[in-house]
Amino acid sequence: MGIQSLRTMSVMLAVVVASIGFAACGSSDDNEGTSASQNQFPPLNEAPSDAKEGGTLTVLAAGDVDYLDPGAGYYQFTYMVDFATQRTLVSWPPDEIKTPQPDLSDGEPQVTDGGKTLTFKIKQGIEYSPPVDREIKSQDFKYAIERGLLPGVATGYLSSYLGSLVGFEAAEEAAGESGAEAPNIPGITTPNDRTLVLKFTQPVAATAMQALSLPLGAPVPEEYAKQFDQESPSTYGQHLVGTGPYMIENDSSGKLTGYTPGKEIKLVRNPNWDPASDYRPAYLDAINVREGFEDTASASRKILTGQSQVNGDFPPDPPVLKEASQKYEDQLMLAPQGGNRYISLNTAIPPFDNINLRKAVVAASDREALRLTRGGELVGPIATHYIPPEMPGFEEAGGYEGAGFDFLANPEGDAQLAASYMKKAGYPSGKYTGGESVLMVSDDTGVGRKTAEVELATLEKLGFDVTFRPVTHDTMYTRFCNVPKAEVAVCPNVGWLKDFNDPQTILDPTFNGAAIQPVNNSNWPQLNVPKINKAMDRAKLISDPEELAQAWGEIDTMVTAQAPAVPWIWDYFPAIGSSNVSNVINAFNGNTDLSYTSLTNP
Amino acid sequence: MSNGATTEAVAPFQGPALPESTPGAHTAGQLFWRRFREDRLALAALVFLAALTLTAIAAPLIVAVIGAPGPNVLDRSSLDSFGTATGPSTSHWFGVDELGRDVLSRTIYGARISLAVAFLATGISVLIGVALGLIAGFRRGWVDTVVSRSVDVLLAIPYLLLATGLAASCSFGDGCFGGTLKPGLGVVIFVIAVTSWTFIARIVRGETLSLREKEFVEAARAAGASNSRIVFREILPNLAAPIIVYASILIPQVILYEAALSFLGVGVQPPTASWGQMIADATGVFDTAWWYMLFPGLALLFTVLAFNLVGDALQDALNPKHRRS
Repeated sequence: MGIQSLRTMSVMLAVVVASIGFAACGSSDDNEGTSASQNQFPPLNEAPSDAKEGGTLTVLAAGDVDYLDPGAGYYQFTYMVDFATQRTLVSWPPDEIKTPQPDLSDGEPQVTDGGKTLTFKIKQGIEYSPPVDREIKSQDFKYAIERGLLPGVATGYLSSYLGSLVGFEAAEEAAGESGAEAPNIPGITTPNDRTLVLKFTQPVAATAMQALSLPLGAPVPEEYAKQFDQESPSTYGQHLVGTGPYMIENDSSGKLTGYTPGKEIKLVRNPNWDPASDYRPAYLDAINVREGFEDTASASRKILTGQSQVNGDFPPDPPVLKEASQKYEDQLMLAPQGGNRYISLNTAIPPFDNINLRKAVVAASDREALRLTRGGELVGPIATHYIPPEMPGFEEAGGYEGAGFDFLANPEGDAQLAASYMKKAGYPSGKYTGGESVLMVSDDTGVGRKTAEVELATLEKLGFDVTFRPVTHDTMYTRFCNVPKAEVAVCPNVGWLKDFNDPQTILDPTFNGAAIQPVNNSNWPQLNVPKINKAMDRAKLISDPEELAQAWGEIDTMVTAQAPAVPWIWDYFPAIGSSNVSNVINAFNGNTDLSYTSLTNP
Repeated sequence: MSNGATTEAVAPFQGPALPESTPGAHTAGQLFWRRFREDRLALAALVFLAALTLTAIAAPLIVAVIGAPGPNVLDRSSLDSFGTATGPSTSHWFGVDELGRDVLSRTIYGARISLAVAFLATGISVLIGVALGLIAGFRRGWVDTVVSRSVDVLLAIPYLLLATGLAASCSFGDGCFGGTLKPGLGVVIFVIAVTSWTFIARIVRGETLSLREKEFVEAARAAGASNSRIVFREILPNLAAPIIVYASILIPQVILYEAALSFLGVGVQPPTASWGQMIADATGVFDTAWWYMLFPGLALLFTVLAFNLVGDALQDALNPKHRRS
């Protein structure tokens, strides 16, 4: 999932537990100061003992979810809604970051056959929300995974984590040809309504189990969804049903009445949800997600001074963050995200198909200035590679200092070094003199736009003629940066949150050539280096934790050496809430957990 | 009936007739200037506009002389540890914005955008409006019908909505017309020009309808003057006054128009400094970074006010019957 697009795990609980963790990792002075600041605003990862039921919470958002369809969504903000409406085979209580717990799975799944077979028993008595109104069965999970291959759904992480399913490749081809019919993946079988068996060609069952904590692991009723899946893109997202404590308001036919794209998502209680079957308390009666708050500074102030509100997809602007940290300390939490942010450079098209040109851009970039656009030291340490702190492989990739590449040595940018790389790239003047204009598409509001403008200044100083296009956040992803055909040279507002506590989830969807997709693409730089791809394929099969950390650490170094992007922060999400909100942060997703949050005065 | 041959040259237009009783006035130009300068406020406004124009032209020199950084130079050291902007200081007289860019420098450079749009968009708009109004008023018939109905349709559409839609559609990819009109200043000028010509077209059409029936036009026709000669040598010169007056009224509207488009995000593209864009960026932080809105806001206010004052004075000077008492 992109930084605002990823599901994540959050090593952060470790950070909250101990700033000692940072010191033990050999933190730089910068990071010691950072952890001290962040510990002033630790996130709440469990509901208070006196949490009250009732009331309506309002979530303010600048943009929209990417897709409500659980098969298509791949965005942190979307997951906030998904986790409240879609139960999955395994899922994440707000204080869990290492191992998901059984949710729709009846007990722990079984891993057998040397890690090649994964078996789930499906809980009984769980029903879909209206109008489907029937008990879930194992076939629904099979369909949910298979429909992910349809071009109209195109699950962004399906091949990364479930690509080793027996018969996957043939199914993938069949889906491409037919377009409207979800292909059968022979490796997924359902001996009865309560048993789901996944067979893999390689020992990846443990990884696959964690992957099924993502919304793809939510059941989809084929008899209901099939008609919508025949369209491309699928319109199932406009007729959604689920099994979570909440549902999006709909009419008797199932058509969503509570979703107006770009404006509002209304969540109401799911009448078919049985609290006895779920660990979620679901205190709130309703949740209104109100979108279109492009003036994020005003929206942040509204939250801090108002009632019953939290921020959804935007961090508060630096002036408001400053105000919150000084005047509204109890309403601010820094939620570790276990991810990174970077500025991707498209390696597939000129001019950034030239590695020395890319190194010049990375060397010239002022990462301190980039970090200031989000609020300075308080929001995270400067990144020197891609695996975030506390994740296996972080230390092996060089820790906070990085692997020692010269083009990442100076966080304030190094104009001289940049010029030398430009000369190596074939521009003796030290500046770009090629004729092409470079297209940069960014967020049009808030901190995203500021980040883009900082990098724009860097590119222009290097001599690039930049065509700068600020657009809405969801448009930036769905029409430009996620679409290789759009040929966007620079996407300045991307990043990645780990899908779970495995460095594969940071590097594989984003830098493996095999992960490049025609739509919903998350390998924004379109990096496709055979040696790196092969190293990743080998590393995916490692089960020993130390070996795994070493392997992925080395891969991180190989990726960083290619300069496909400017990594600039391993950040925290500043979650803010009104004074009457007990804002519980889901450590996995790094933002508000709607099923645990409550109001002090409902 | 004339055989079409021109038998004698038609006397060219000399300007408004000199009132016999005005002492000391020898030419129309002198008379105009005397009337204009009686309005001291307008004179001051004219001086302001002249200074503003010079500032816009010499912006790089002025910024260098006063020691301010360029409009797009990011000065990280001028931000605090949270990345928030700092206010007026000795190193940044008007403070900085949230990226550390000097507000004074950007305000100076912003004048270039406002004046460029003002003069170019107004000029193009006037050209289109005068041409179509002349043709419609002189030719009558189906030509007049087509032009007049087009004006009616365009006037019925909220112009800001139309402009925003046009600007937005030309702001992606290669722009419009196969890349001829690239996103940025060109789109802004184009959009304003094509949505602003309608008023002047109506005015010119009305005046033309009246003038074509005048005796001097009949005389010219009787003398064998061609239609184009009548339009350009007889009618158009008599339209000079209303055209000048209308253009001077249109300019401040165009400046505000550009500011509105930039405010809505479909004007000039970042990082180009534009007063409207600066005001839009300052909206969310006005209570903590007042300088960021104040200075470009004042610049916009004074510029529009100055053009309005000059426009009023021009109207009075060119048409004494409408002079204020």
